[in-house]
Amino acid sequence: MGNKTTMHEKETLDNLEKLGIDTNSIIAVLETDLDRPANYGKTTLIALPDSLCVLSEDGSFFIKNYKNITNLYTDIYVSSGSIIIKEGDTLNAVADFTLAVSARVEWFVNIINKLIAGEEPNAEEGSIRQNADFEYINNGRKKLFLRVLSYVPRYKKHLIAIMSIIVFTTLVNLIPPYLSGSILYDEVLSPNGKYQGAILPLVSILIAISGLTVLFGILLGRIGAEMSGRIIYDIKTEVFSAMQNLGMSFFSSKRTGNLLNRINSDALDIQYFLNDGLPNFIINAATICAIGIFLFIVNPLLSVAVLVPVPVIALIIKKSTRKFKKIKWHSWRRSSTMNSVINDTLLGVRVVKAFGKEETEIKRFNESSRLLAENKVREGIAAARVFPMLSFIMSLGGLIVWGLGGGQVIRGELTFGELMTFVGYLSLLYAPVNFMVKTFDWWTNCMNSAQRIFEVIDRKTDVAEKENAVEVEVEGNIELKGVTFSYEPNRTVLKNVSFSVKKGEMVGLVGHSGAGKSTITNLITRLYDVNDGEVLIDGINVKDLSFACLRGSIGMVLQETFLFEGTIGENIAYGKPDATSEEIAEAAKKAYAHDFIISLPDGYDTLIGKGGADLSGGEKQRISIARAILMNPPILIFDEATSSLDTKTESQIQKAMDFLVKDRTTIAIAHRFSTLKNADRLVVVEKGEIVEEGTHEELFNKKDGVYSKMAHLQLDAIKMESSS
Amino acid sequence: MQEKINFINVDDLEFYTSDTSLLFLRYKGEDLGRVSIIRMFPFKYEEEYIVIRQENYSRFDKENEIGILRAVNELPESQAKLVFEELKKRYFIPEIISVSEVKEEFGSATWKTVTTAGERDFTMTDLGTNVRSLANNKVMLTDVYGNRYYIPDITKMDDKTQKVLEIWI
Ligand SMILES: Nc1ncnc2c1ncn2[C@@H]1O[C@H](COP(=O)(O)OP(=O)(O)O)[C@@H](O)[C@H]1O
Ligand SMILES: [Mg+2]
Repeated sequence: MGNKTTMHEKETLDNLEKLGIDTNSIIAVLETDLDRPANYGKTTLIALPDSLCVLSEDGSFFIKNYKNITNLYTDIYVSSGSIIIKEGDTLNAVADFTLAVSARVEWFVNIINKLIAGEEPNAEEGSIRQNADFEYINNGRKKLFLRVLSYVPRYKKHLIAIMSIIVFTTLVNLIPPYLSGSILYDEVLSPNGKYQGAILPLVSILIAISGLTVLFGILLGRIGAEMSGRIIYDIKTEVFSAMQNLGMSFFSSKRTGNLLNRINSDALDIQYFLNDGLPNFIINAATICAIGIFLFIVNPLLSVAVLVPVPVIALIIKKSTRKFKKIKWHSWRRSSTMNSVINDTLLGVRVVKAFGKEETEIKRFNESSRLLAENKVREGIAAARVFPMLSFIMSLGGLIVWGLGGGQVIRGELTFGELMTFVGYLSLLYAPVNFMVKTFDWWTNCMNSAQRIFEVIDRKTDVAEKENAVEVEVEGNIELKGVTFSYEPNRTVLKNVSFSVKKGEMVGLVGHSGAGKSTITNLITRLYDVNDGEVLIDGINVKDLSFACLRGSIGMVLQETFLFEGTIGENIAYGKPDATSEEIAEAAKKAYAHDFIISLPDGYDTLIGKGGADLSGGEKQRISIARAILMNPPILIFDEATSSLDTKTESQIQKAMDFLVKDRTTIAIAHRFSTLKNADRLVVVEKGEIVEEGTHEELFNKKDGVYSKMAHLQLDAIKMESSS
Repeated sequence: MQEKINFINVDDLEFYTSDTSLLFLRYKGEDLGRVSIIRMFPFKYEEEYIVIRQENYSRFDKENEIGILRAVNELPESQAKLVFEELKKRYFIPEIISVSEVKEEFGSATWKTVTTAGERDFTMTDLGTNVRSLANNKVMLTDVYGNRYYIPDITKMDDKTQKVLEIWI
């Protein structure tokens, strides 16, 4: 599409020159894909130094001077949007677009608003937001296949071994029909044959050959498994390290969620293909060619007759595979529906019983179970129809050979042994055809999987470490300057947020849920990059700091404490893997975690995480506090859980926190007064903007203040609780 | 916050549009400025249960719900027309009339189509989640950008399209 756009743009530029606009002064150009609401077409918007020019496809245009524009913004509907211009109190739509260009629209609207405000815009196209959902890389069929194969040559020895075995097996496979046909009947059994009576040697040779084939098969399987295993290991390693380097936005997008879920099964698909599909495909293809050539040399007429059913067989297999796939897929869908009904009722058993809905649930289960059973029957019926048909057509091929060949034998044009050889080869021929058609399906699966996997590997990270990133000793001054941010285009989450935290200060972030508090911390740790404005640590833009330096300087105690699978000791040492056991215990003691850890039978070696011991919310939180204490970072970010803890746990956590925040720059997202009162300053966030700033006392007593209202509500709740 | 849903009396509504057909509302004689209208059950009811919200230009101010219109055709004809136009814009989901080319490759599919809104080419990935089949052979498609397309009757589509979609339906 890229090429087309520039061509269009050239055309547009020519038109502009005709209108008397100096094209050299153009700052940015946007082409939308609708010419009016709900109609595909094109509207061109041009950012000039002092005005915005809007050009319709029919050549009509209008120009708005920035002086008269209050601002420009977008409205997003179900799968389209409008760019709206505000001039004083008047609103008008200037252009419409679909989601296909929304990222570009956001970029352009941003530029115009900068120009309106008299600021220098960043019009570089590179600043268009990269959104995992918004770009789709099509690797192309051939490139994809070659890329999968490109992993193979790293294992040259394996490859050579596999190829030799394949060639050898193919050749050896061709011998038995000849021996049990021409040789057996014409030379061994016939009275004037060359090897008359030599039954025993013949049988021995046949046994030896099948033994050899089995041996080769085992060898091929082993080498193939080793090679494909390693290739898959390579691919998985590459995917995993690519994933670790991607920005957070990649992981939170829905589409990539699906992508990630499938990586393991995708890797398996590729492995199956490389392991079984590809070698067998080559063997079978080679066998078919070899047999074909051989048959033609022996008896051209008969070979043509033999080959007649082949296309018919291929066609039937291809058609039926598609049908089977569809039925199988439906079965799969229906069984997962059934499973989710079971899951629902088991997990929600209290709700089901409380509402007396057992009957409804039984009905729901029966219905989905019935649908599944029906589909299983369809599966059986389809199989029962196709396979007899196939064997009938294959036997038809045999009958043709018997009929035509029999005639030739009677006329003496063909020996009986040769006829038997033909029949033997015939059976060797049809099996590979069946296999080849199926391999095609396999191949498609493998390429689908490869496409998804390479999409992850190739994804450009949106939060990248600068090449000349600096490494400094962080003191802990934090400053946000005019920060604007949105997770998705056109849904601004933070708007022009500015505040600073001095070294050693503790600032509490307060606000309703969804106000954007956690988002602010995400930007300070650079899990995401700001859209506008800057985040500074000790006066240095976080984009200029190395990841090691940035993240090594910030300790996090998060709302949803994540503990990795491993021991408690290992979890505490996550941020400082070289910590001694004494340091770990020391940190746990300070975090008021030591006591409960020691009362566990396995102490610091207690396994937690999946399959390990279950810890309470308060215990998990104290472990993560210990983690932060051990790491001893100059900056601490604390995202407090809203769920209330019992008084004793709360006071312990409070004490742990008191220790933790001492001599450290702290940003605490807190809900409890006990935490908030300790803060040097509070910053109140409301709908993505900072609305109040000051100490707890100042804000608490401020009439009609946001914080004051929130605090009084909470106080009332506490009073009600204690009086009841 | 309103405690109860306000089912609007149509006599209280007076819609008007700007030159560029943005929708504005006078409610009980008071000018509320620009409003947005939202289908409560977009799949079930297209013209019934329409939420009307006052929309401040800043996306930070919470949109304000004025109430629910039970059915668009309770409005006088000229007023209903304005609402239908706005619905058409907000729920822009073109109907696919014909398909000139379908390419399926590696779990993604590319269509060249003619829709009720003009010609359109689009690409879909992850067909399992982006093909949604509705009642009566209707199918909704979502492309890589999140744009939606609508097929009123899949059985009337060309063979190739049916073949690509059938396993997901
Ligand atoms: N990963 C994400 N993708 C898209 N939107 C998000 C994401 N995380 C948070 N949001 C949205 O951003 C807003 C602010 O969220 P957040 O910063 O978590 O609020 P708070 O921490 O103040 O409760 C919310 O509207 C939320 O829905
Ligand atoms: Mg939060």
